[in-house]
Amino acid sequence: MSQKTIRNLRIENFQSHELTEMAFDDGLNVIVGASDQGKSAIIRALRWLLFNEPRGADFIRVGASQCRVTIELADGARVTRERTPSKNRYIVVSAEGEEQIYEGFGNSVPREVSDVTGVAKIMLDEDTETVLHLGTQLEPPFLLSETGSIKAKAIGRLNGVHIIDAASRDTHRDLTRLNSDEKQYREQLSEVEEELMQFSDLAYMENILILLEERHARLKQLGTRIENLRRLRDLHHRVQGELSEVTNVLEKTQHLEHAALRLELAGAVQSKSLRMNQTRSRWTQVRQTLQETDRILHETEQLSTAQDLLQRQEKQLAAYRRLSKLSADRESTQMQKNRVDAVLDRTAQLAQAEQSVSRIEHSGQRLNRLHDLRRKTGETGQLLGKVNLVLERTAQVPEVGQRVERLAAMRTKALFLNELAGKKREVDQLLHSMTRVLQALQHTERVEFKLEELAMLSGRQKRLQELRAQIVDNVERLQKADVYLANNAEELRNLIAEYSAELKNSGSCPVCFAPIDEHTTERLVEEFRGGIPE
Amino acid sequence: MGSDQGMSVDLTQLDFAMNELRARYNRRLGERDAVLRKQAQIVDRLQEKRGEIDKLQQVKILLQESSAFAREQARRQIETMVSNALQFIFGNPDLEFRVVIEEVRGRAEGEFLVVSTYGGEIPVETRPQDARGGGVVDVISLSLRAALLQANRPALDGPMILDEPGKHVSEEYSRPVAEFLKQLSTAFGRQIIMVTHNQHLASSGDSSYMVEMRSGKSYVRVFQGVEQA
Repeated sequence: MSQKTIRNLRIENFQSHELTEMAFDDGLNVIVGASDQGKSAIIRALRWLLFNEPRGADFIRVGASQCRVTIELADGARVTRERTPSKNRYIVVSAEGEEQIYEGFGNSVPREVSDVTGVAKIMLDEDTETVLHLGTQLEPPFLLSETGSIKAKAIGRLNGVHIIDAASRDTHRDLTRLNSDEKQYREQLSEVEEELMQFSDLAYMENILILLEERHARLKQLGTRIENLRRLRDLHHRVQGELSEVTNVLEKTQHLEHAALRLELAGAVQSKSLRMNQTRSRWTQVRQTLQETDRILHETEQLSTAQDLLQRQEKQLAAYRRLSKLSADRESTQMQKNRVDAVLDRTAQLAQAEQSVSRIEHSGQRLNRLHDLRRKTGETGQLLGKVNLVLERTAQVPEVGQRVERLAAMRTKALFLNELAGKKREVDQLLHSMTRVLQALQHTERVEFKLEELAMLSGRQKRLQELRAQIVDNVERLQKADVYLANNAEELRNLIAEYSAELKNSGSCPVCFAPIDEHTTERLVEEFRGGIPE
Repeated sequence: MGSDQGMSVDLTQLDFAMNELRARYNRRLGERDAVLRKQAQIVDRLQEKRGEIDKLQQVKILLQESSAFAREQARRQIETMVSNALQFIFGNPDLEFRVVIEEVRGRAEGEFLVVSTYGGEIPVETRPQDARGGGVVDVISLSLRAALLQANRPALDGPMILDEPGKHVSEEYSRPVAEFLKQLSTAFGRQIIMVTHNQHLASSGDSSYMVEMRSGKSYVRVFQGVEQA
């Protein structure tokens, strides 16, 4: 029984009880007695202890100075309520034997007392409490006279409805709070929305701003364009100024070409005039000269006849001279004719002689040339001689060159062959060693194969040895098991024999104590024996 | 040239004004964004609160439903227990206890009624404290106390101590009262300490004491039984 029950009650100097001790049962305890014998005082004593009611000290037995009520609970815990002139207290001794004293609890019951007794007042709501554990005689009928809401609450105590109701109340409170919060936020929201209204023109402003900025950019572009144009205009102005100046200049210098032409012409005229002047002066000179000449001519009108005379004289003179000369010549020629006649004896005619001379001269020239040639031939002959000598000496040179080339080729070939021979020797050596190695390897292969075979065989041998050891071990164990089985069988046979004897002796079933006959016993024993050989 | 100069000055002023305007617009945009953020925040909180309110309203409904259900259960439990007690003690299957719980101005109000046909056909429903004998009221009071003590959640421990239970129950029903209490203690394993002037009930107890007063002092002894006494 887990519930708290009062095992013993001891009342000292409480109302009509001087010292009363009672032991209670777990179930129904009846206290009987005629009216006004002190029955209710027992209830009151319990009420004083359990609920600290009534207050004061009126219940102390007349003549006594202190009173005390003690209960001992089923679990061994003890609660004492005592009042002396100096003390007013609860003493709680827990089931474990720990003592605690409580004082100054006023109207209430210390929590620890309630915990020990399991008895306490029940709160129906915040203001109303009720005593379920203890019903006194003088109180109105329990709950019936209470108000409807108290009745409902009392019913509500069952199944913990009051807890749900409390939760419901809390929820309601929370809801109210939340609703007010929500309202507050709604108000804040409307405030903020109002605040936002102040910014409603922002979109419009943005549009305007964009438009303005576009225009602004355009304006800037136009500005730069104006600048450009202005610059161009300035340039234009300047160019135009220059142009007009140039035009002016051009206009002013329009006749220049003409002038140049004229100048040229003038130059030409000048030179012409100069020439003319010269010509005139020459003409004048010429006229003068002509006049002079005319005069002279006039003066010398007879000149041609004179000239003719002169010419005739001259001719006469020339003829004279020629004749004198001829006469001289004739003398010399006469002399020469003597000499020449000698020559003419040999040379028929002079012309022929002259031709011969020229021919001789020519021949002399040719002779000179021939002399030159001969000299050159002689030089050339010497040169040729030298050349021939050299040629003779060097007649065998190309042959030797060829031979040298051939020798060099042969030498390289010989070197190459030598090298090849060296290589061949090396290769031969290598070949030889390879062959030897190959011969050796032929043996190795066979040996490897043998080794593998050997390894396999040794593995097999090991395995066989293991198997043999196992077999030996198993045989030993089998022998042991046989011995053990034989022992067990022997023991079992003995036990079964004993059991069967006992069964026969007792004549009843060892489990249900029902009487059993010989046949059943036999059958039981047979079953026990099972397959064990006798 | 003079107009050009004026124009460039105007342009500078325009640039300045444009920048000013843009800055002002941006400033106001920033202000508006701040307000918008604030609004979003408030909307968030509002949503949150609304969510909580929804939740709590549902919780409230759930609690109300649970409360109503539990109350109904309790009501039936009490009705059954008290009815059983009445029928057991008075031996009258006609007698029924009824608990009516109504919502009055948002609060639960309980009323206790006793229904019986008085042997006739038409059931009569009366408030016990007004229209019933003290015995019935006593039994209802006792069984109500027992029922509440037993059915309380959290469970209540400790003994039930009664001073003259069923005092107004007529002599013929006093034994069933004692029997009822005995069954109560057995069924629920609760210790009952009861004081009665009716010596006939002493034998019903698992333990019985006799209180007597001699020369102003109460003496208690173990009761030996009416017959023996």
